Amino acid sequence: MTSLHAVALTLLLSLSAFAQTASPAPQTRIITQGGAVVFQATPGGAAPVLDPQVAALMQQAGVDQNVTAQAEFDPPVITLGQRSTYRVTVTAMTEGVSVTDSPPAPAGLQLTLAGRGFNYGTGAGGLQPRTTFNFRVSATNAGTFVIPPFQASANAKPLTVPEARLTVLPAGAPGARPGTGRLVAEVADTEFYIGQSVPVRLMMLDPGDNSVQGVTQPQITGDAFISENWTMRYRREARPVDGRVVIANICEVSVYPIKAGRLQLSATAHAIVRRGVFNPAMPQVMENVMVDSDPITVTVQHVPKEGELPGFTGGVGTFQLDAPRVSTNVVRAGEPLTLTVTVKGEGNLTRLVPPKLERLRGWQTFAPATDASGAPQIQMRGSVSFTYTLIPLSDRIQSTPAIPFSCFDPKKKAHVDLTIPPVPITVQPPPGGVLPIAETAKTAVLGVDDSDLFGAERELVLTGLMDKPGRRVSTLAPLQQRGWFLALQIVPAAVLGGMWLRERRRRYLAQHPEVVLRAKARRGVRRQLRLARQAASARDVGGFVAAGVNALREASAPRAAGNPNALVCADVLSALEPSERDGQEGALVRQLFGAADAQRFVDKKPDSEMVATLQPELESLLGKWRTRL
Amino acid sequence: MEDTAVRLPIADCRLPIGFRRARARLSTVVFGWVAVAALALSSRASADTFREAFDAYAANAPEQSAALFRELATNQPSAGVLHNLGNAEWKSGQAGEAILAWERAQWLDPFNANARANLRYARQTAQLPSPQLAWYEMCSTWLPVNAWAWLAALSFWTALALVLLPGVLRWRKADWHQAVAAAGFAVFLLTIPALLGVHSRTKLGIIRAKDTPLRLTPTRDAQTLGRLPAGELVRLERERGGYVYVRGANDAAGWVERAQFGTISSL
Repeated sequence: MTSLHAVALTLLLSLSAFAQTASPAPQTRIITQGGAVVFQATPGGAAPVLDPQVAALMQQAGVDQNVTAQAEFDPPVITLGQRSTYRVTVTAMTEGVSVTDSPPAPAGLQLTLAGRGFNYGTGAGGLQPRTTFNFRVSATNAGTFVIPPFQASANAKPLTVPEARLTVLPAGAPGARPGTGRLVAEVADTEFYIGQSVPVRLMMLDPGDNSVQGVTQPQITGDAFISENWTMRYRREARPVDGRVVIANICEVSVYPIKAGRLQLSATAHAIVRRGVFNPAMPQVMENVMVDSDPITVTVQHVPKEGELPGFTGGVGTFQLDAPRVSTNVVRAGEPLTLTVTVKGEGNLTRLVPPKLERLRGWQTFAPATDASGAPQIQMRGSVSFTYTLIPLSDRIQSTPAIPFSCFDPKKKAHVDLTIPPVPITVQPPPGGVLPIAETAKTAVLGVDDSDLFGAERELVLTGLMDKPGRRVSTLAPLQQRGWFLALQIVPAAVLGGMWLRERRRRYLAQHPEVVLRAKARRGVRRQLRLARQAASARDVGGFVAAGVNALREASAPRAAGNPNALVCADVLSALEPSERDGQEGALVRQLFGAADAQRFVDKKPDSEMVATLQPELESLLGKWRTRL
Repeated sequence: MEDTAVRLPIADCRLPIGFRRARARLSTVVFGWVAVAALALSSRASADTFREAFDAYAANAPEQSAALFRELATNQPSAGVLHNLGNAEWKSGQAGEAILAWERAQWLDPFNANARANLRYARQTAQLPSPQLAWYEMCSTWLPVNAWAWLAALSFWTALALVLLPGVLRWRKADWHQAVAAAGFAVFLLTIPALLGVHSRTKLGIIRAKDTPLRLTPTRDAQTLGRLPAGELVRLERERGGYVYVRGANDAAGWVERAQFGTISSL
């Protein structure tokens, strides 16, 4: 009988024992009524008839509720420099167990948490949940080290972990005991890319006494890895280790790094270990013992962006593409066909994401369906299939669309084009020339008529050069940020503003005519005064008198409210203040008007000395008068 | 006597007023002709350079073609020259410069379908995200950038004139005056978001160089926050010395060297 057969036999025996103790008593029958279970005696002592489902439930092994803790060193006696494992096992579900990461280690002993595992064993009360903590132990000197009892908790209740004792002998001293065995983790390379499938080979080496019968529940722990929860290529083989041949239990687990940098990973597993001296007459006692490996360091880097090709979905590996297959080569417009693409090779096949189809003109497309097979099947098969459902919307289509797809090949250290090539098909016109999915198609090719259908489907290409430079500009700066354009806005503003002000002024003057008269009088006074001065300087007494009279008329016109040319001496005098009328100003007015009248009607030339006398007085009077205008 | 006449400066000659006016008119005409001739010669030289660059591109010498188109674009930018410059730069492997040139061509002429198609092609090939513009920036791309300013000015002054002039010029009030004024004001109000969009788009730029480092501070030895691909559209936020603070896709912001960045609205 091989060791595996012994393991299987032990398990079957224990299950049958549970089944016998859990079976109902003879001469009973089980009936379910509204979910209730009723035991009923069968007449005549006939064999009980058991409902198969209930029988299966009843045969479930019970769970041992007794919570205990154990602590041990494995092996308990080592030589200096040899590795030991401090193992704490709590018989409770892992979710409810809390054990410190740093047990109270004595001086000279270092403990490092290596992993945490869970399995079921057999206890007195049935199945026994076991949560195990492994710590790597290293001693700096020989001696006996005792880890005292310390507190842990299980199911929110305190629990005492008993003491454990380790004896460290000097290097080379006899007496060291072999441990349970050694778990070794190996990777083929030390440099990987994010997302790459990294097969980790786990070897559980027998200590030499053929006590390790198998290895189960391998787990990879590390800084940033995703691990598959299934193993591959399990085998037992003899391997030379340290000059002797030992039995090695080997399996492989795939992990995927998800972070760049130097990362550590280590493994834990449960070894099925035979306890006691082998004796064919005695039943074998098997135990599940959690073991752990030394950490290994790998370097992980990002998949390079340089050279990345369209359709890259994170595939890292050496892949090949089988010729795509279509469900039919002849299809009517508006009817679906499927395009199946198979990718095979080595890499992260189980996590390969199919390239999405962009919205294509002339096609209605759906999200690709991934392989329905489980990850272990895909990995064992070495290939994965994607299925695209496509609906041609026109009978002018002659092939399925090319779908961009690429991956990164870590061996070549380059991106590889895996574009899914088009497959020739024949699309027949829809029945009656009308697409049965006209509405859907309209949304798929929104705003595009049939003539544009194929023009838009063409792949984007670089257009040719323009044969003419087009209209030249002085700068690319927008007009609104150029000074001259902003300054140009002053022109219409000034024109419109000026016109508006002019009109406002015109209306004001229309309402106030005296303002116009005064302005006119001021202009007339200035003009006549200038003529008077010219006449005075030319010794033209007649001209001086005439200009002086006219200036007085202009100045008094606003007050007299008349045409200046029609005013006489009395009108001008009436425009003077009463005090001025009888004073020097009044005399000046009379004298000038008298001289003018004499010159005009009697033809008597004024006295030439008059200019010198009257000019200062005239200017003084007119200056005073102008201030009133 | 002849010697004296010869020695007399021309300015001192007391020429008749009519003769002086004729001489001034002649000078203006000559100056005008010289200016027109210089312009024609310059235009002819530009046309020759354009043709030379065109031929170089056709002869598969994109670097030479790009240099000629670049010279033309610097002196006399136009949508056609910028589009062709983009093609030449793309063929030379300068994706950032090519996208910048096509964006400038689009800036001048948003109806240029070739530049638009090339931008789509380049962004798809280089796997660059499409520009994310605000709604008013999208509005501003419907017409050439300068058209919005003219439209706004004309509509505003027309509306204002039709409000003021009937009163100023004492025209008889008519319904169409108010209708045109209302339409003018409406057009002006509608152009405001577009003008805002044009102003906002003047801050847009393109990363010229491949893997341009995005720095934490505007210094040469600054910590690198990340790298921007050539051709990525970024928004200029601040300037300091030889560095500009830009914000790209996914809100990634940092300082980049001024030489590695080019705004769309300036050469």
